[in-house]
Amino acid sequence: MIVSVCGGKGGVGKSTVSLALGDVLDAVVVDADLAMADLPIGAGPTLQDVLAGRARPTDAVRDDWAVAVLPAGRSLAGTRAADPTRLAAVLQAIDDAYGTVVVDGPAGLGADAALPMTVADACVLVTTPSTAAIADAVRTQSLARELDAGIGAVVLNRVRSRRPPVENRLGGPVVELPAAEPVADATARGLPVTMTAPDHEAARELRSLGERLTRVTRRPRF
Amino acid sequence: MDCTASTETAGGVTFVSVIVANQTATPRRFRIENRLDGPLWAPRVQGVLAAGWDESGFEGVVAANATRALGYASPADPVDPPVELVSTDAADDSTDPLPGATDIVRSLGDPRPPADVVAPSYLTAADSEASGP
Repeated sequence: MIVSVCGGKGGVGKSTVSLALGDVLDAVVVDADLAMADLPIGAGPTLQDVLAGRARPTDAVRDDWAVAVLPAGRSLAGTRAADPTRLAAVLQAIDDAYGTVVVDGPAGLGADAALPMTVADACVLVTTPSTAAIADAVRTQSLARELDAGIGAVVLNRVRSRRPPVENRLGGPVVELPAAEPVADATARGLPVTMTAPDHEAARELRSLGERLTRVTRRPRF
Repeated sequence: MDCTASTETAGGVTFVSVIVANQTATPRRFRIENRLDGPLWAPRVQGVLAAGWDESGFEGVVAANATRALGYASPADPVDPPVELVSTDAADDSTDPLPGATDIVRSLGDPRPPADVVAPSYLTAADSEASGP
């Protein structure tokens, strides 16, 4: 199964949700933000190397860490050499080898945001309650619809006491993550909140989101 | 169906303009092929070939009672005619398939940083040497 975590605006919590889903689904998290990666990297080949044909997809996966990750490189030259049109095939190769892939997508509505959607079995749309973030989420949702990628769930991140009725704009089901110290702490440490604070409300919500995603209908492959 | 083409030369490059006209009452699928003795430089969108073009010509649909204008360039000398209408068919009304990766890059843009921001390695090496202590 390929789950694409997307969300238009930057900084809404795509990586936080991706890491947690990687933990819950026992998946490989692919940092598909080619130009502005932010998942931990370490040494070894990156997604850019794979997209440039210099490394096999499975060789670039780091599975000695809290969550298996296929990181993206940081250099502009490396990204320049990568062929983005190979992304879909790379994601499918990782999916075949590992069983589940969570794609931590980039902000914006560029081709790099759209390409993972073409192979995703479900998209998870992440937004905060802010008007700007919701507006961008609406645009991302239209893009997903255009590419036949179903929205599996909407994650409303950093909810304080009251939240806007996002179901009107984005539909459901909506998963609420509270603005809380343990979530921010996990993100700062680059770890899934489901691992650092497994009993926290946010971790519980993310686990039930993971469970819901395992029930989505997979898109046919040709 | 008919196809008219003209050429114009500037700076050693031949520019070919093509008009494909469909006088019938049904949409037609057609293919034109380059007859110049040289490579075909097809139009590009966001760095990838515009839809319908390949290295030897263009394939597309012209609507009923309509015309379609096309153009490309080549470093070869002009010949007459520069292109040939090699096939026409009734256009099937099948719906467009889902966009592929190339279509997505074409319509949403290449996500890679522009070449200008990437300094070649020989340049960066020389720079660091020059600015060394």
